[in-house]
Amino acid sequence: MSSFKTALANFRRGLTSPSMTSTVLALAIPLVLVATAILIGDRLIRGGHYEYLMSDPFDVYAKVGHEVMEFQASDRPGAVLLGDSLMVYCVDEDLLPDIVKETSGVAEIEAHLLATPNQSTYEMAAIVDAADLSPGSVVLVGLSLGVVSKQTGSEPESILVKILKNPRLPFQSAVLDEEARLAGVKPPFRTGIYAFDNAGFYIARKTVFVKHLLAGPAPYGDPLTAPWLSHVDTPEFHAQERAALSDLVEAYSANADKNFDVLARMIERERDSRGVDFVIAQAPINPGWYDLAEGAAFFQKFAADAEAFAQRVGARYVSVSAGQNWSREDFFDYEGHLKSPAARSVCTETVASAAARELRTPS
Amino acid sequence: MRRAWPNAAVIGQVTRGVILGLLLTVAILEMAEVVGDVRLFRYQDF
Repeated sequence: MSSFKTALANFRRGLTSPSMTSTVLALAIPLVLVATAILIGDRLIRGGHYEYLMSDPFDVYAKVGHEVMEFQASDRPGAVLLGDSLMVYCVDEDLLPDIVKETSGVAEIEAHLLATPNQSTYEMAAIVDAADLSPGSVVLVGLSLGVVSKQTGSEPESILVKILKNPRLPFQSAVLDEEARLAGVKPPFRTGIYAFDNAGFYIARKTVFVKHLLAGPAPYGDPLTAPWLSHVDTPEFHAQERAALSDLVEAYSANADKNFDVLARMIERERDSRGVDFVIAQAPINPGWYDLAEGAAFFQKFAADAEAFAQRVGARYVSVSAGQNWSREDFFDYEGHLKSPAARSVCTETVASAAARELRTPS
Repeated sequence: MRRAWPNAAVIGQVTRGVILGLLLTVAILEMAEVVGDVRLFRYQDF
């Protein structure tokens, strides 16, 4: 017993007194963790345990980042759907692969929804570049007002400046850096070490990562259960959206051309270097806009511009809303997030089959 | 019979080092998040 008491006293002394051992260990631990992060690299987000990095069940950026990096290893042609949250709500991912396989007639085909909330044209270019698609693949670009109205260029409010400073996706892209230089923005210094170049993505998720290590990961949730939807599916919010139409028009007029140019460069680059084809899809439009004279005029112009852009880049154009019997009640909000399962099913069928028809067997 | 204990003082020092090392790591990460203005974009950030 006295030897135990002695040992306890010695332990307490070792615990509370400074020593070379504890100092070296204390300095070594962060270095070892940095070295581990460098060695692990992108394996965590690329592999099957990416859910440990999900900040919440609707962390689409982590999910899409994982799918892009997983897709890199595939040499099969595939169909990739891009866009912002309107496309996330348009496409039912459970239905997507089967529709693409059925329409294309190719069993060994991959289909991925790589839309993310607030996705920018720059991120579309980065996603497509990072996915390293095989020849014969097709990319369907879901065009919504949100995608083409974002401010570009070198101003602090530019989406390009924001995503260079705070990347939302867990990978870098030489294409994004080149777009930055074209816009007169200096991209951040790239070390070439994955852990350093993408540190922000992981640091933002450090607390939730530890939580997941202890309690298990959170799988990706159903977008239809996202908590924010109850805030936008109200008459008051809809009235605010209608009242802000002139702001939408102004943002579109100021920024659409430059965003279309970013997309045009992406399409030309991918066609030339990888043999990838493109489809331009008009994302769902809430028919409630057509009750407003200015709304009807503006959205008709937007549709015409999107179709003209498709002709400019030599891509097939499809309007998801055209010919549909949708009502305002099929949407959560005027921005265009689909609500009803029937409407989502139709939307999925429309975009998936449009993409699948462009798939071709590489020669 | 006396039981031989491992060097308890060393165990104490190692424990101290590990605790301090983890605290240092957390502090470095928190500082990096502030200095780098790291943000987590959530679904509703339009």
